Amino acid sequence: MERFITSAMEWLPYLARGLVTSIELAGVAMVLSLSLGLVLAAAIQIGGRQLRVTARTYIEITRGIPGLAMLYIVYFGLPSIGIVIQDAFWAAGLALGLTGAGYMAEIYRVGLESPDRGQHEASLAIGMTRISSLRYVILPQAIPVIMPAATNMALDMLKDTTLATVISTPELMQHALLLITFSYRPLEIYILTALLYLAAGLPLSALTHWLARRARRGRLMADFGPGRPGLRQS
Amino acid sequence: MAVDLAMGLTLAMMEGGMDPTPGQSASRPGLDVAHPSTADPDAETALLELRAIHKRFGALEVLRGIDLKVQRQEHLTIIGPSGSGKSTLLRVINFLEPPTSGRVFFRGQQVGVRRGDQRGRIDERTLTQTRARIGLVFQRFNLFPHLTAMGNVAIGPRRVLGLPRAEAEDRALRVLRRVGLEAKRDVHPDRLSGGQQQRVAIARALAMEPELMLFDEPTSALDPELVGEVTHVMRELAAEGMTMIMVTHEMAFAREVTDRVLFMDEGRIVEEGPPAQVLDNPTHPRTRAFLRAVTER
Amino acid sequence: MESLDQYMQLVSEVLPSLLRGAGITVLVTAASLAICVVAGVLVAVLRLSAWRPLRLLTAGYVELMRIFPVLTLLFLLYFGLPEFGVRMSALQASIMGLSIWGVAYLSEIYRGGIESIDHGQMEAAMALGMQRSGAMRHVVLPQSIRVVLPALVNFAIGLLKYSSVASTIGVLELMYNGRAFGQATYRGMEVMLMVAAIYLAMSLPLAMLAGRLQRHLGRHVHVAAR
Repeated sequence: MERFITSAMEWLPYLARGLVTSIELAGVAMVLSLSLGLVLAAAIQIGGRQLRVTARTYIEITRGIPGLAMLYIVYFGLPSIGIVIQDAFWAAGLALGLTGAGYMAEIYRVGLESPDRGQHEASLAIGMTRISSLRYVILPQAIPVIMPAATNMALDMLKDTTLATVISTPELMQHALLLITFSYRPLEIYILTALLYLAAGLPLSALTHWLARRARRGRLMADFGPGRPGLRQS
Repeated sequence: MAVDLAMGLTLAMMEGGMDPTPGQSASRPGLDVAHPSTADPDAETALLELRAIHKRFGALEVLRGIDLKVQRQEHLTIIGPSGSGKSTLLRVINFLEPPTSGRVFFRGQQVGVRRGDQRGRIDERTLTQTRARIGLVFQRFNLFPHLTAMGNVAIGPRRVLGLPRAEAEDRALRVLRRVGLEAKRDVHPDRLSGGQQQRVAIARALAMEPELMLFDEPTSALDPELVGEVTHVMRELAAEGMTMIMVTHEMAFAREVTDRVLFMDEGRIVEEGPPAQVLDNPTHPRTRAFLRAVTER
Repeated sequence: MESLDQYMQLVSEVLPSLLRGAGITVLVTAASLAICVVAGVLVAVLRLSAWRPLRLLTAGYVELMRIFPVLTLLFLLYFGLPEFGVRMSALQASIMGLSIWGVAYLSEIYRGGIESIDHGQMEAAMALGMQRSGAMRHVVLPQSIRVVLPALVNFAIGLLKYSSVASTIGVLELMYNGRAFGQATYRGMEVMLMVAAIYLAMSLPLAMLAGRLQRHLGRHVHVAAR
């Protein structure tokens, strides 16, 4: 056990550097997913038929293939058609982001549909345009729903950064593998790696749980729920 | 946002007494009086007119030819069995459900159609302007849960009429006082009783200073002991001269406050007249059957 | 890119191996799915147990799997366990790893399904004189199955996609074969597109099934308000 701790001290800096890269990678991919996902969601909500179909096709395809496939296509496949991304980090970020965008689009959609129809009608009834309704009534209710799902997505993204190891991105998994080739002590290194992922992931998970609880409480602010005073149960 | 401001200007104009309806355009120099409008001289006297309204949801025909005229300050009650189309009728008036065929006129103008548009296309901006002049109170309140009572009531004046925040909140406070809920202004809907929520909903509609108030079964979702506080507000509104159309099951209330009762069944107006006539001495057999079923407790 | 003929040539060379790999993919997925469906019930029940330590333990396991990357888990099982004397084939390690992750995930789906049914249903059943277990069996579970089924199909799609991670520890499934042939033929893009197409051919029908189930079964269920 002591041997483990002393070795762990040696390994930690190198592994921690890998973790930082993992987190950066997840961050880059999330930025792409959040923005592209928004574009996709908008295309589906307010776009013309062609735009809607294109967006939906994109979402169906990127959600139907494994993340690894996307990774290989971006890193090995794109060079065949002339697009070369030298840095494995950016290739991985692109691939993960492109995949995540489809999921974010779905999250946006569910969030926007969470306020009930009566909310939109009530805002129209006082003379709001659809845009005002979206801005002042729907979005404020959609965002508390979207946020926990988005942080959950970020957590998944962090886990998926491990895939980038196959294209030699210097993230945590890659560093762990390299370390093993030098030290021949896979089990301890993997355990340490696991602990590092836990350390990074737990805060995100806790955040997600907290946001979800907050959103649920907020949702109960709607007109109907069991046992509300004065309301006849319909 | 630019749209809201433009609308705020238009509404401010109308409120300031400059009534841009065709009847007055002759007195305004420079305006082309001969320009064809979508106004109908007949419709000018009535505040609201429905002509040959049909509404179909897929294969289901819910409104089968409704003709109706409502004068200013008139109080109308619509009764009838579920599925008769009463709620749909209200929702057609402010185009939450556009009619399948037929036309709706408000203040002499066809609802949602830009003045001068011969083809009668529905224009969103014109429609929202009309909606701002008509208040609708929902059966399920539909208050905005993320806003306080004050927030709910002020959001219309602020975001639709474009009033500055202080003024909007001033107006909201006045209206909340009117419905007796000034003390609850900083409370969120989830902490209010059903009756209080509905009163806030009425306040939210009143804050827009509408010319017509529509009530879609406003007390049906309330516990019996809370119905009174809502009907009290409605009674006061009626006494103040607001034009009101109410869909309700509260027969006693209807009798007290109403000038005219409409009985609807299967998408048609079967019988209409003063409450004493329709409620106490109905002529049509279906009306009689309905009333008998309703009063049998 | 090259002409269609050249592409078809490549396809005929590579496709059989890819399809063989797809067979392994299906094997891994199906085996994991079978384990998860059954074990997931057990874990869900433990999660709802009356005994607090058991509840916490299970909750801890589920939470752990939310955060733990599947790839790391596979490596840990395949490369790490031999130090304890536990040796298994890459295939076994993959199925085991996917299952450990999947059981946690699925148990949450089951739990969500049960908890989403309105409490009033249980109360009404007990008011009729049923015991808790009877109410569960005849009233709550049948309804929760309808809620869970579409999610279960989506979970299967997730397993299918995650099975590709097995390629990193050398399982000769679809992704592994795709990568190998892509490098061997120097035509990574074309081969990967084929691989993607095969995955889609497997996942899209499942996605459509899930959608159909969602629509049909979503109706006769009394879900708790919000």
